[in-house]
Amino acid sequence: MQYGAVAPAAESSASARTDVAATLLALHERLDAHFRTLAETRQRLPNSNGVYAIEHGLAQGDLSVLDDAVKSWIAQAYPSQEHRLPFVVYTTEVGYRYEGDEYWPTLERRAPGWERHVGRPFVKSIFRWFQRTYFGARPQGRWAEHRSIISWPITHAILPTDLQRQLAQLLYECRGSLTSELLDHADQLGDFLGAHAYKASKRFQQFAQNTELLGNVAAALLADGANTPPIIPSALERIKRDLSEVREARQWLSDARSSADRIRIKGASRGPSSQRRFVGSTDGRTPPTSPVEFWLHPVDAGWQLRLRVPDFTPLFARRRQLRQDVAQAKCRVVGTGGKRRATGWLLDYGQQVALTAWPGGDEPVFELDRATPETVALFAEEARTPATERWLFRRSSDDKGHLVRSGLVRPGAQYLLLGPGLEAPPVDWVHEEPVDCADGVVLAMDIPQDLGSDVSAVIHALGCESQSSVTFTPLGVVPAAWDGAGYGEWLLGDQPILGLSSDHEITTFTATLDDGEPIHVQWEETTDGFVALELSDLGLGWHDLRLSFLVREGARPIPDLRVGIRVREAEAERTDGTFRQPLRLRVRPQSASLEDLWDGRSTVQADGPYGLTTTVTVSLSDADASVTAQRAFQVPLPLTAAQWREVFDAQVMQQPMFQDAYDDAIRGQLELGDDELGYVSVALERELEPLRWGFRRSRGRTVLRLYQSADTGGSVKVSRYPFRAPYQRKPATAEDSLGFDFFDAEGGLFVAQLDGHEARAILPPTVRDIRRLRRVRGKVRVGVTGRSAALVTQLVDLANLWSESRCPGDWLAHDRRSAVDKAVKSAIASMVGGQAWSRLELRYANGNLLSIAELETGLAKPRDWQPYRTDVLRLASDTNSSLDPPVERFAVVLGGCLPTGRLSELAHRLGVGGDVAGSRVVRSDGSRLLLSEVLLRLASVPGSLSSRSTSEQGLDFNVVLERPVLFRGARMLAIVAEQRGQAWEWD
Amino acid sequence: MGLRAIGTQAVLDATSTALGFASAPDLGRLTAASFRRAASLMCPSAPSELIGAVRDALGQLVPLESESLAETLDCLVAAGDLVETTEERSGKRHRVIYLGHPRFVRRPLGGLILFGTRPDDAPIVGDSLQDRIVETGYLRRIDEPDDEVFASLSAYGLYEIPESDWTGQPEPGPASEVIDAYVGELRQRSLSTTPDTLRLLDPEAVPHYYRGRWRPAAASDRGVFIARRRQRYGSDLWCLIDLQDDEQCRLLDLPLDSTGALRGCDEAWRLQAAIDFVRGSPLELRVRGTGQGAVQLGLPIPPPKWLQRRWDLLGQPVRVPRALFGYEFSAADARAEASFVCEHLWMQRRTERKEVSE
Repeated sequence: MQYGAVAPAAESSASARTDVAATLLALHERLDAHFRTLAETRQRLPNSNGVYAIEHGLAQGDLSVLDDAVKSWIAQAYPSQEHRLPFVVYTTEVGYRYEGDEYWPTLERRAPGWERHVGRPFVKSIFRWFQRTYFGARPQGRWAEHRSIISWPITHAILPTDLQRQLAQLLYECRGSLTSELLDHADQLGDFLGAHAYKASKRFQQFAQNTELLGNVAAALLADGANTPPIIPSALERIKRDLSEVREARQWLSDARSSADRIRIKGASRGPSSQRRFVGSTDGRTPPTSPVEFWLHPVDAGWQLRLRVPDFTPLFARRRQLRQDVAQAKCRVVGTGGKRRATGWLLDYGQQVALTAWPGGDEPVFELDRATPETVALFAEEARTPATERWLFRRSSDDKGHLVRSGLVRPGAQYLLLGPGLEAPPVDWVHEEPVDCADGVVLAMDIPQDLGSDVSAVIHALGCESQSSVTFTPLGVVPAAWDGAGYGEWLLGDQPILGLSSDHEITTFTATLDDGEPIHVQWEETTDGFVALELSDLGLGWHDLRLSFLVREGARPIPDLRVGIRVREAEAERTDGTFRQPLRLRVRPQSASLEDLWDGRSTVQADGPYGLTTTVTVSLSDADASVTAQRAFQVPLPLTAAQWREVFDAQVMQQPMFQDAYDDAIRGQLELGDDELGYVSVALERELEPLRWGFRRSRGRTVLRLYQSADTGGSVKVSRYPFRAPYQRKPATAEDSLGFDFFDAEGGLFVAQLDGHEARAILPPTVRDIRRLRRVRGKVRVGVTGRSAALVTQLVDLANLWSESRCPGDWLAHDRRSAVDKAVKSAIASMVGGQAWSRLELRYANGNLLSIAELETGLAKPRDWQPYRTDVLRLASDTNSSLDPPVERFAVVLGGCLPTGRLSELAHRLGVGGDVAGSRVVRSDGSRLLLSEVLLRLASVPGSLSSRSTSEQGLDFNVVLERPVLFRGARMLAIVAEQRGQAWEWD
Repeated sequence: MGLRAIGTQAVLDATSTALGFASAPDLGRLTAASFRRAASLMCPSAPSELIGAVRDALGQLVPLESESLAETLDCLVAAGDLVETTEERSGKRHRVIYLGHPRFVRRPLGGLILFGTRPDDAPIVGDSLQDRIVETGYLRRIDEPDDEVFASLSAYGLYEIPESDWTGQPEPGPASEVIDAYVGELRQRSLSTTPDTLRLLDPEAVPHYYRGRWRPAAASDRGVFIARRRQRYGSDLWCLIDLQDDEQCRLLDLPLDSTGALRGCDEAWRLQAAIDFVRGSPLELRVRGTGQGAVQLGLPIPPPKWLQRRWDLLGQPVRVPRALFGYEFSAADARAEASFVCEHLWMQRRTERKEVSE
């Protein structure tokens, strides 16, 4: 009976399964026909991204059937190859609803049995098949590398729900800068939006890297129906529909579309603008970035020349990857003595820079380092100093001098003229004033009301021109910039109106805008004493207004006049504040993650009115967006990066609440401000790392917890390196059954590895009493036998292994890491430096202070290398050295003892001489500096020379071994600096 | 792209449209909008630069006075559209204007006030709320907001400030104590040469004509005055000065407040009100019934920031005859506000026409 009772059920089950199979098969065939047609069409399109599974074209009812069929099937069995397409669509639909970190749990919840009957690798296999069979899209980018499975369904969802909101917000924020060209050309729109997407979440930025897809989706969302959509209309309609269900996103999209509609009617344009050269442009090309703003600022020492870093976003919209390239570049600013700015500094627009030396006319303002040659050349052209040899500034009521690009002076006004070698003419309205700018001279000019020929001659001799016959004034709306004479800036969409007034006997004048037809204006017809010229529908870029005057017979002629007009995009708002607001939070690098903030790899600066105090609020939130830790505290303004670190350590890092919440947090927020000054904020996301270590307290101990988000299918291997023997690698096992928590009372470096991914963290030793503390702080041994380049490379890699590891805010962990670092450096120095030098290293390692004289005796045998010894001694004795490593000065010392050809040869043999500019290991350019930098790095931070974390070929340390005296000099300088407490700041 | 010559009216029409007005605005609204645009493009900036830019742009089109432009700018700062700070450069103090963050505060009687200025002339709210904004002078409000309005404000990035945090006001107290506190500070300053670009708020002059009270310092002036120091470059600085013999003086820069909440003028106006009271010629608050149930209160001096914010929330800025600044209130609010201002600024009520019955 029992069997009899079961049999009908089994039959029923089999029958049901047959029905499900038939349904899936039917769906598969239908989808197959649909995707094949789509693939054929898409393959014919130029630059197509391919077919996306979300373009399945199924109606809601069909999707429900598909949903039920897939769920029924996988509750019992593995999917058949015959009906893979319904599973592609099903997993894509889950991807469409993806909102963070929960793809697999969602899939399992929606289709119970997936993990058991189907498993994760199946998903990747069906999408790969889809990609091959139907010209499917491929996931791209770093995220796709370590999310090698779920990147497929999420990519094929095109714009998952959580990214839709961000796209709507981006469109809203950029609506003021939309133009008819952007709306008509999806590729340009994609580039434009991609350049503005840097504030969005990292996942959105990833999506935005595919500017073509971004542009196409955005164009479709803003479309009035006239464009051909890049993906099938039903998929687009669905995104629009879903966006409209979220009130905020609906609002943003609606406003962006209204702006787009207005532009279509009015026709705001990116061009055509004048291709003519105006002041500041050197080659007729029209740089999209506004000219760099220069002004003279009063300081105690006199006038100081300053500039403001412009917003390069319009330039970034013209070339993909440019922002990323600049984010990794350092730069020097002209007239600042070659000081190199921090990585990504140039992205922080609005900051002021004081120039200490006359920069010269028509010079590149920013010289990029560590960027591609194209980027370096582009920036050299994009931002240049005014082309003239002397610069005119209008002295304004705020006690500053504002640059007059047109070089025109007006009667009765005060000006400052800056340039090299200027001499005040013998007139009482010009005198010299002090200036804090080497090679620069400032002449103050109080232009007389009456511009007689003698006055005009003096003005002309000083390199300026006077404008007395006709006066221009912007009327109506205040322009974005106006130099008081002949150059102004307006925003895209503005209709500039210029008022002309004159007391001369003008009868007629003609005005010509760019290459347009001239208009003729009878002066007699004017009322109110001025003529107003309205300039409408100006495109982005430079425009040229030219005026010619006809005067009454016998009257003094008026020369032709030109007005330079520049139309620019409005700057997008920033949550971290702009220089126009009283508060600003500056996080460097701009792409800093939560880990960067926590581990001190990023810097934070709070700008604000001097002497005021305001509130900082720091919060952490978890995957559910719940705030898990929050603390507010008062800070004085402004706050430097060093002051921030100190305050942040005390107020946040050392608070148990934050220590407990940090590891589960996926987002952090810094907010600065109060009701009076307003609020600015920065959000920092958890790095999209496949593996990471966290520190947590458990039973009075610090325990390492391993977080794994990679879905590569491989298994994680964990090793431990003890402090006492930091080169010995031992397998480590988790202390819990889930394999998350790792602990060893001796502590050490833990390294987790999975399919090419690696995460490292230092666990402090567990200490309960002084005796134990003394024991764990015992000597670190790095035994080295022999002397070879391979051994140096091993030690450099070992230094890197330890120095680039996460370390908790625990002094013992830092103490032990520092001990390992010292031991490795000492081992390198002893091996490279030779026997005599190793005795000095031993004394130094034992805590003895070494005098400069002692170190000098170890450099070489008495009377050997005498000039070199003298130079190194002089350099070491210079107590005024800065925190910067003395790369240039040591290079001079090397140049004094080695011929140039020899230096070049050594640099070439080091292995990076051929490609210095692109090297991520060594930053210096030119062989002279290269050898110096390598030696100084090896002597102070050897781990920074490791090629472990780069794809580059390592350095050939035979060069160093062959000339140990050179290394000993570098090491001597490093030890002297360490003993003075001057830790060199490398990148 | 086009170029054409246009007349004055066409310039005004184009300006109104560009500043976001559907129809020609009155002078107060026009100058306030023009200041917001100028600030959005020029900040950080000295007040004098902003005033100069607005005067250049509008001066040939509409009648403008520098004093009234300066007062409009002060109103925008007090209202929170802009933020004023005092910064030191080369030993000199300078007033610097920044943009105020977009935010809003609810009015006790319903409705809300929007304030703040976005960079590069971006509108404070998006399309869906633009038509809901009612502008009176420098003030922008939304009447009868519903949930949809609050949701939209949030979408547009405006955050709410509690009314109590927004107004903030000094504790009421005897006028003599206020004077003593400032004079006590002044006495601690060392003697220096009297600046030559000094304008005094004359305590002897008729108190109800504020602009007429300002005059250059005379060699014969002795004693403690509220003053403004003119700078050849830079905006006027507010101070309290004790003029003594031989061109010597003690000088106290205002504001004393170091929290950034008050401007020099806020402290100066309150202090002058205290001085006038102690001298027996208190300032007069004009109370004027409209005959339609509302009551107007008129001030003979510009309102300090805390008073302007309070009245922005409760009343409506209006022109009151023979007063420099005026607001209209409901009868009930007018009673309370008249008491408030008499208590905090030691003013005397002067009722015109029919005062609301007590």
